[in-house]
Amino acid sequence: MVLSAEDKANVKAAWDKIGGHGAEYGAEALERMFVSFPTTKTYFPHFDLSHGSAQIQGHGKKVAEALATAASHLDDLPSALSALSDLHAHKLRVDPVNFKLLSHCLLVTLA
Amino acid sequence: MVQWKAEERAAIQAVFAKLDYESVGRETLTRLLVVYPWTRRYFGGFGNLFNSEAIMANPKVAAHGIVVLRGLEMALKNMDDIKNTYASLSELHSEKLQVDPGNFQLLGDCLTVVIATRMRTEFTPDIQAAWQKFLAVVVSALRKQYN
Repeated sequence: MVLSAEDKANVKAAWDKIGGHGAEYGAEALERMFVSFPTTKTYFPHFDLSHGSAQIQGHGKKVAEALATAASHLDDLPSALSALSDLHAHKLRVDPVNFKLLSHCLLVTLA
Repeated sequence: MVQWKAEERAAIQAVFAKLDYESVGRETLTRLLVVYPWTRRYFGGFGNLFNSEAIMANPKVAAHGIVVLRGLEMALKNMDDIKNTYASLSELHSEKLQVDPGNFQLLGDCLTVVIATRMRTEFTPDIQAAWQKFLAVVVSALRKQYN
């Protein structure tokens, strides 16, 4: 799937609106995902998943940072995210259907 | 059979209570047709669906948005037997309209996003969870008659 020039402009505009709230929104998206789609919790048995947990906050920040990387590399997303892709595929072994669940929850958070 | 906790029923009622069918219906369908453009294949008779402005202004899209929400209301009124309530709707979508059921999920996602813009922070993670469960049951019931 290719991003058109208009797509990239829209992504940049949306990302700018997020401003410094990336970590906060990342954490909220994660929490929404764990509550709405409990199967996703199976990937975090080592986390305290209670509301407001430090681990969710920390992980929200990581997610936001990855999205920031993606947003600033819209012209070469596959290579910018290749290390993360390897991590999720080979080490964490996350079923890719879960990426949709997190992105949906991110959209809801932004909405 | 699906089990609903009292809080879940309350949450779903709360979401519906605030739904302006006309505005939410129109925006949901617009988002579906704009964000997932292949869905336009099911609306050949709707006229101009060539860009987001046209879709937003299209009166058939608006009217159909209301139809969809009325359909969801049927599930709300029969939460303990959504599967049977939706038997004929499922047949309609599979036999007559021939809709790929993956699209039901997409429509549900678009609706959820619109609801979030309306309810904002009132659409808490717990309320969202109940709502997502409701949508999952609805989508599953719609898929039932496909074979």
